[in-house]
Amino acid sequence: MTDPSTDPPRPNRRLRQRLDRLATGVIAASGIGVVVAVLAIGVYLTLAVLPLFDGAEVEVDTAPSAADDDGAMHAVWLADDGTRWLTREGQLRDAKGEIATLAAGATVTTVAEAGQAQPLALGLSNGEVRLVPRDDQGRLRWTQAATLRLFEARGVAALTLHHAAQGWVLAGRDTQGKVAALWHTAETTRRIAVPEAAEHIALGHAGRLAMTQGTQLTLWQLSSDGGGTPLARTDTQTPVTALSFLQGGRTLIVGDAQGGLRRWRLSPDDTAWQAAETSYTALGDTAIRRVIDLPRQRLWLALDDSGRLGLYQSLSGQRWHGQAPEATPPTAVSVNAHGTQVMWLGATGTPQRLAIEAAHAAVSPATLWMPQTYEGHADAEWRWAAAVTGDEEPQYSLVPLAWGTLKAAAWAMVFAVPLALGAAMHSACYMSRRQRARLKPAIELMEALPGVVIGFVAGLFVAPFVERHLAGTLALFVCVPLGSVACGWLWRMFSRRMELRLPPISAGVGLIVPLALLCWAALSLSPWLEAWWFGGDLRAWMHQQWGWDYAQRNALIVGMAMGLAIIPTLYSLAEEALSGVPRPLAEGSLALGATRAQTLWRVQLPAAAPGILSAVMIGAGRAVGETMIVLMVTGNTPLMSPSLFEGLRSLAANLAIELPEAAVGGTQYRLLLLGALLLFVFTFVVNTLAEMVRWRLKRRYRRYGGDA
Amino acid sequence: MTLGALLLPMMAMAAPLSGTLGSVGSDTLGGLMTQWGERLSARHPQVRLQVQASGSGTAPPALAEGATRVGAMSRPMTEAERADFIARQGYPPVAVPVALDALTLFVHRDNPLTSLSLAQVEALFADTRFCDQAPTLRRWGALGLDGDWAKRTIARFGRNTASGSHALFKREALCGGNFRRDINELPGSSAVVAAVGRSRKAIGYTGLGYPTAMVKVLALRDDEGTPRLPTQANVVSGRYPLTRPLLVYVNLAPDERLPALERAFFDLVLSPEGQAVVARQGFVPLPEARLAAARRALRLPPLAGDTHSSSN
Repeated sequence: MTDPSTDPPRPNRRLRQRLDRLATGVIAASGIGVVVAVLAIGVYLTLAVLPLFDGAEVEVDTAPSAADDDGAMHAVWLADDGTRWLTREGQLRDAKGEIATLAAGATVTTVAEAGQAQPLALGLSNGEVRLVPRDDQGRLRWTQAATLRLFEARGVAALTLHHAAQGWVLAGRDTQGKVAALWHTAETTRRIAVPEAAEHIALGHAGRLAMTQGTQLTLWQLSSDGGGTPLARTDTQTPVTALSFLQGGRTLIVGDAQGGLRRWRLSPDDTAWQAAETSYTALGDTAIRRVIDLPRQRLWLALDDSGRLGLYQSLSGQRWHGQAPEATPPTAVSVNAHGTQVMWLGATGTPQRLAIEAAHAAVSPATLWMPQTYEGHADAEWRWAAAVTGDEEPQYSLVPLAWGTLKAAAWAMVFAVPLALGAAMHSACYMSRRQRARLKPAIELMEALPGVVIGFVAGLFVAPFVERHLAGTLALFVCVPLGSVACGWLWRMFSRRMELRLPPISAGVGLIVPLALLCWAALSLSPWLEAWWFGGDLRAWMHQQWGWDYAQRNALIVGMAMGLAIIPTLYSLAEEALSGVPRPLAEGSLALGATRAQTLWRVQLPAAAPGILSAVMIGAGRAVGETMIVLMVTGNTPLMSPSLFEGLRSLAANLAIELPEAAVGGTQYRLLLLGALLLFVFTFVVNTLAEMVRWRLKRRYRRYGGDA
Repeated sequence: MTLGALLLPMMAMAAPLSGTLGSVGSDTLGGLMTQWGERLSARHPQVRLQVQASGSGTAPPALAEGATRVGAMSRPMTEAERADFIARQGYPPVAVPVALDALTLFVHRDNPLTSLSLAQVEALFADTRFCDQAPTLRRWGALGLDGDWAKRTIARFGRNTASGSHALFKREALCGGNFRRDINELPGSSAVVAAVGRSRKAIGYTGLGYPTAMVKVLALRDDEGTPRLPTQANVVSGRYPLTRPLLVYVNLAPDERLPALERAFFDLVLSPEGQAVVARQGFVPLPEARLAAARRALRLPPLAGDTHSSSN
């Protein structure tokens, strides 16, 4: 130690000043660096999330035309390896010249496609169907087209195609409204005559055929052995003018004569129609002419008689609307495999290309936060099930995840707050300084336990134990708090007499032995209690009585494990707030004759309340952001139940599970980052508020003459 | 082998092979890729394989951006990922099957159940009934177990959403339907096995090669009702229903030949030596016909005749 009174030599002082300035600079820079880093994370997350809410767009441009365009084209395809043109006479061309003639002696009237794995079907004016197979890369093999007869007398007016088990189903309508179908399997192709006329037809999955005649909407079941039975009939109120199943063949979009667009779903058992509660935003009041299914993301286009065009998503509704390239309905429309480009051939014969930019169209505030009726489900539900293969209906509700996060945090707080606050009160107000100096670091040391370790132990050992001894565990939660109160009371009764004989330890330490006895009693007596009150099986009884299921990995376990993890934070902050209460306050109260309990309850607790509140807030912030414990202890089941005995899935755990394999830049990826942003904002706000409260509290203590 | 041994020095003389081949992708395939990398370095001392195994989902973007030419995936690319690749590279990527994997269903070792039908699998794991209309199963009694087992509720365990196993299970066993929401999704196959091994009422699924003595693997009944265990023979023949190929995608223009490094890599992977690694890692080696087809697709020289490969 240098003596401050002796003046150090000048150069030394300058050096010290310089070092001091340097230190100030470094500290300031680090502080600013931290703030900048935090802000940068926020900005990065926001930028990654924003594209989710970009509007969808449909852009129209004139597609490259065939070199010897004679204006009689029927359809145009965009393939991976170039454009194909088909004339009405069935001549197929690419940029180099003619490839194949597909309609000898007849004209092409209609075209149907069903994805990359199924053939392409051309309906001809002589009642025949030409089927163009695909190779294993999904490329059409035009020269290997096969011919099948669908109608004897009249030409094909409309065709619809869908894949089925080991093959495909094709249904057609002739110029008079007669309906027939072909079911192709590996062995045979069978023709099915449907004894009912229809104006519009659409094929769904597993041979479900939707047909309309006026306002009648019928569901037929075709079968691979050549038969067909009507399953359900519904009245749509307004005459139907357009019809299409969306990819997957379980959702039917129906356009009507007044411009209305509605969604009908197959019921979960595939035997009836299930109407959607709400209809889509209408384009106008003229009849809907076409509904065009775009593969992927359940997107579709609707065109009405006035040439208005709309882009819709099955769940999030209208995403874009504008004018169609031509006012008259197109003669042919073909969609590329990814649903991003539509070739549109109108009356003028010039093909138009529609580029559809709707990468995240499945996401809207309603799909994120409102319950939705998903395919195969009877009721509207909140579900999180990120798309896996790209073909299924995405279920992007953040509600189950937010619910799981809050549920886990809430149960953790239920466990941690009484324990941590009790411990803090006891050590701040009752313990001697020496005891406190030992206890506090011990509890704070618990914070060093990594979440993974707590999660591992709780998930693999505690969860099976609690499952086996559920009644015992629940008995513990009742017995221990009641028992400790009872012990405290007994202690008071006998303490006068015992005081002299017992070593001078405090009541708190003395409680340990009776508490351990209580735990042991609760655990060993509970099997009898269970047999006596609950018929031997508490879990079965709970299910019978209240319909509660018991999952091994549940909120109870996560509450205990995460509670343990946040106790040190809570304890240490609350203890700080309590012991920071200026001594003159407590001493004054005691001097005026108040008991210790009265002083604690009436003076110290109210004075420290803001500090305790901020401790609770910081604890909650930690519980919300905790990842590893929730990940390992819960089953990560995105349920929406408040039950203590069922699992949950939190935003943070979801991020840890799904982010590594999410396609970068995809909808799921951005939604996961949206979850991260929500967590970030939540913890940021909560922690900032808590810090502000603490800061104001410190100022108040200083005013009362405290030293904090 | 003998033919390969003869060919190798000749190739080496023509152009001594050196360099680093990067691979990005699936963690299921991570162990296999590393092993193949070691063998590749043994064959060509100056060649290194750099494996980045952080998940199947990381392969498509890396391939599309041209950051890597080789991407390992435990599931096929989705249409969107394929479309993205085509948009940037102008042609589709080539998928090379390198091994076979199967999904195994298993229960606690004390569970008397031995086999399940596919309809029961759907009823156990799905909320939807896209394959069949089987009723919901709540207790083991509904699967025909009696005694204590009849009353036990069924606890379901599975892999996480992002894994290839999850995707395959969804597509094949649930017919594209939705999983029940109360399936415990655990990170990692071994965690699923451990959890099922510790709970008598549990059932779970993972890929091949994970089940331990704590659990009992169930047979699946095929269309005729014959129970099929996921044995190597049943996986190869496809009689076990839930099988999948493990894939390595390679960026290869339609008219191009494989560059030398990739060529050496695939020549190793699609050889008896490379396939022996597959078997050791608990997966199923490709049957000879598929191996030969994969070699043809990459224009690799056909393997030496059967007599050669069986002699060593």
